[in-house]
Amino acid sequence: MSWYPLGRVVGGTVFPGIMLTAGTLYFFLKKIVRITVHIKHVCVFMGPFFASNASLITYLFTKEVSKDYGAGLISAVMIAIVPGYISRSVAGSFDNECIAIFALILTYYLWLKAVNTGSMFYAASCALAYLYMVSSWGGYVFIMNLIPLHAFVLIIVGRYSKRLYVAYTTLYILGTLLSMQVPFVGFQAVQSSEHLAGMGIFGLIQLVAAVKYVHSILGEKYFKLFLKILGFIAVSILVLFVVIGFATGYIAPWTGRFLSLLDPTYAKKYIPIIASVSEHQPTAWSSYFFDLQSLVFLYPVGLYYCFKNPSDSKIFLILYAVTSTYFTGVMVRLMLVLAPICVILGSMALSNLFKLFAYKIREFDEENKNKKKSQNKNTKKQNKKKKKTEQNKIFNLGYISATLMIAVLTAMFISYIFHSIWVTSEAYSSPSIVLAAKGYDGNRIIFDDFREAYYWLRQNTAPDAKIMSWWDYGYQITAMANRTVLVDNNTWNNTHIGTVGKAMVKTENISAQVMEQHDVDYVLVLFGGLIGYSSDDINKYLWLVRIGGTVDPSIKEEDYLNSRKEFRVDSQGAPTFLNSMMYKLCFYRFWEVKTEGNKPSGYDRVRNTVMGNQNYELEAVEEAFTSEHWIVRIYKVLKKENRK
Amino acid sequence: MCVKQLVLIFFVVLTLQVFSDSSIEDVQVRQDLLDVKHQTSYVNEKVTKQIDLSTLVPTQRIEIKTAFKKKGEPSSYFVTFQKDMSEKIAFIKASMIDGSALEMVKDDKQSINGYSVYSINFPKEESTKKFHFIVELDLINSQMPSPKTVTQKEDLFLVYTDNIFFYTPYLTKTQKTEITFPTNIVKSHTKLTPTELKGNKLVYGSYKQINGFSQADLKVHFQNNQPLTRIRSLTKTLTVSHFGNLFVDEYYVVSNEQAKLVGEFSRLDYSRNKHLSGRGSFQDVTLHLHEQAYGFEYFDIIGNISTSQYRQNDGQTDVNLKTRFPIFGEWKTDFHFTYNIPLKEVLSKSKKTGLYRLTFPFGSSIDAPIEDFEMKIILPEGTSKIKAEIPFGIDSQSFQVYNEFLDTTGRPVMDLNKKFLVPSHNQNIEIFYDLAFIDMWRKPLLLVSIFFVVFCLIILISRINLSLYKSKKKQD
Repeated sequence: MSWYPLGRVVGGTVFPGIMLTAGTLYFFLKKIVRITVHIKHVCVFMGPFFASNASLITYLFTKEVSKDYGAGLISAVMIAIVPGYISRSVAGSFDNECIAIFALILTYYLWLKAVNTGSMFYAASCALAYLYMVSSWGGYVFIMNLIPLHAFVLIIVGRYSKRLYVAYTTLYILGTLLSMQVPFVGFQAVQSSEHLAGMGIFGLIQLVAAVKYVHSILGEKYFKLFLKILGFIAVSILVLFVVIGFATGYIAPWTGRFLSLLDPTYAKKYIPIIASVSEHQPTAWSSYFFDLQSLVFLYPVGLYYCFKNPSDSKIFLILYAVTSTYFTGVMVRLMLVLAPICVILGSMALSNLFKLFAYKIREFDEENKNKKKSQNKNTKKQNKKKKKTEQNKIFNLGYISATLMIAVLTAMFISYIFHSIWVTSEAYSSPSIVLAAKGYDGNRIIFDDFREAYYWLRQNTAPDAKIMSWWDYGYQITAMANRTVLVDNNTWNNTHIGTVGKAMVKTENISAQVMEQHDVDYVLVLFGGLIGYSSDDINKYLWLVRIGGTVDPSIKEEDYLNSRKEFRVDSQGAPTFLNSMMYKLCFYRFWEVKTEGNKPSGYDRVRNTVMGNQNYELEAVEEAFTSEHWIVRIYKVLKKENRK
Repeated sequence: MCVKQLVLIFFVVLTLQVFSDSSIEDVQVRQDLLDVKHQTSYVNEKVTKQIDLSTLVPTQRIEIKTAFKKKGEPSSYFVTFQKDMSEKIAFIKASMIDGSALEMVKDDKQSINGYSVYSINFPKEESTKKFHFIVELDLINSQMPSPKTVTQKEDLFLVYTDNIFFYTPYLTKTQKTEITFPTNIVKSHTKLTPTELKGNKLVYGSYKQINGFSQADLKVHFQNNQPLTRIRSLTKTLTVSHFGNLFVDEYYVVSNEQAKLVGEFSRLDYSRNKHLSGRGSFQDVTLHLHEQAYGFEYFDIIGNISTSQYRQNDGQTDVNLKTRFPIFGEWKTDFHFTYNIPLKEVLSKSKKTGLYRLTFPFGSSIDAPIEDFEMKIILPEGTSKIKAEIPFGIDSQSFQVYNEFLDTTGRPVMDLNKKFLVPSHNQNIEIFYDLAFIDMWRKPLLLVSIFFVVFCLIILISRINLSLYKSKKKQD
């Protein structure tokens, strides 16, 4: 169980797609093919399996857009190793995103197919793919805004067609109805403002279709008058609807995550829990290069080709590229959405460039051949004379530059492959639950502290023990330790998380009260000071303060900063911090430890300073377990009568 | 029933009369289990009882010199144990002093009310009718921590209870009892003159002229800071593949039977000095495996455990496994350890009977007592005439059917269960079975035939023309 004592309705708080997919695959393998396989192994290999599916779909997608097999093949190669996507599709990354990208590309592919053919079959298939996307990832909102945007732009630029009408209306009606079947989404699909664009464009496209029809009947003269009246009525009805909708609260205001997409500073101002996640931070410029490498240069080239020779589907690519580039700037996590479009545009660019220069070379070759043929007809004397001029022609500037360009492009492509492999092996292949470091002698040292502590909890605490920790470790404790937690990574209730934050940042007395109220048996904290593990609870501390402040106004960030507005763990740190529960739990008896030879004992290797408050006793809790390198520290909460 | 009880009472009275001149006063004469007629058939001339409490599994070595006092062929010699002792015996073995094994059979007829009676038949060729032999016991659940809870820095003490005397139906002329402790520190011990404590050795006796069924409570309270590793349960699954491999999966639940750790567990103190602050705890176990074992995996439900090493000694492979965390008193952990052995190393075929013989050690690869042991042997599909030969008794034996890849009729599984094992049980057992050569090729043939049929069907279907008229396109 989690979220003690509230509990959590699992169906209403998670997307079921990934579980359904894994369950179906497992059932298929176990019951139909009868292969002995563990559900664990199915989950582990979901990422790679769906990445390979995504690779196939990307080929079809690129081929559909560019009508070019070469571009399709290049895109399949590139998406297979693009670091931005591989980070979510390595074996063991059993997360919503690992199937969502496949579903995303599939939906877009079917949408373009529907727009290009005007086939209701493709539009309906697209709706099914959309349902799969909705059931698997919150990013489906991106689809429900991009497709209407595409339709809107097509109408604006005068590319409205019956194909578009059929595709869009079929998709919108079926897609919305289907997406409402997912419990987590439900009526949000028609009520929340994130989905409003789809509905608006649906109305607009009916209007446009009706107008076109009327136009064909009325003729120019009456048509203009008709347009004016119709326009006025339409706008006033729309405004009325929106006003009534918001006023009655029927249309929900934009959710925090969506608002922070539009206004990057929104979350930091109002929802600390969203801002506290490192994945929700704006992207640093270097990570574009890290995750996309040469695609950073290639995808504007692809965009150029889209503009140069626009079609319905290429306009879609432009829109996708522009919006996703903006969104990645807001949230680093959305690099995942940018990666496929970069790959598609980049492969189109590569393919076009290769073709351009290869044709150049071929032209020269053919010219030469023709000349040789003509030479054979001539006499030997002429032949000798002509040889020199011929050689000149071979080393002609265009030929050289074409060859050079092909060499550069090939080098780019090869370096992309090497870079991707390197990034995958260095950054994305190591499990975050097991840390590794290089020792002085070059040996690999493994820090398996998390699993050590979680397994200790699993084996040596009461089966119904309640464990309080910061929400980051909630899922891990639930799964690995098999114990009840107060809060976990499904951050559906901010108040409860705030309460935990309060228990951590207040003094021991207040903390003990909060823990007693919530039946807490053990407290778990992360401390990296001994080995220099920097993402520990002390470095997250100010987020705890900010989030705790949302439930208890007496928790103010400035109390935890010293007079110079600094957050320090040494003797110059703020006394409120040095006497808070979290500090005491993390640093308990650390003052006796000598971490580095030439430094005094109690030297924190993350903050690079000696701990401030020393030699204190814990009253409400006692140390129950500390992992080998002190990363995980677990304390047992003492009953009131057992306290010192 | 009534008659039996009357007979027993009569015997009790008789015994009391016969041995009324008992030299030791606090001897309680108990006679509610044995047929009294055997009591006079033997006289123990010298009994030395050695109790070793310094090892993980406490052992008793009872050396007996006895003589048959009646005419004719020597009858069975009875070795008896009281109720509380019988429960502690995990393994029992008898041998002559020269090392030749003696057959020892548990007499279920007479083992009533919790008492256990074993009978020994001596070799016939002894003309002197004097026998010098040894009974060896491995004990389980015999020592209890006292106090039951300790803090991290306290010393650990155990209590062991027993009978000072060798509980025998026969008259014993001299008896001596020796106890070896792990350390010199003995908090208390029963005194029964002459008693001498010297170093880590406690000697009772020697005592003269002890009557049959004599009883004197023995209780010793001594320090033992060694961990008491205990395997709470072990499930050993052997999967036999006649394509040349034996896969072994051992699932251990390991605990420590020392006094429960209460209060703080300080990692700081523990890492500073494991001897002072990690008393009675352990963090590694050693597995002794077959020499040819390979492909080790060490994992639990949350993934691999990265700390293990192995080395191949002559004749066996030793694998040292480090548990995820130190195991203090009453802590536990569990893990899987899997490995492979080339099948030819453990399987042979008898030319006489044509049966296969699989030889594999029973019990655990770790030298520790086991509470609950289960051994599953998954044999190939089509195996018949399965029979196990085990040198000692087990609790239950059953057969199941297991289905896996492409199994049609299922694989037979032999399931052996036994409670309370000690390392002495780690002996080879033999499983005999019959397997026809064709059964080995069942799955390949199954696959081949399925594909064959499918391809044949495709060939057939593609050759059949069901259309009523020739299509126009072909004509073009």
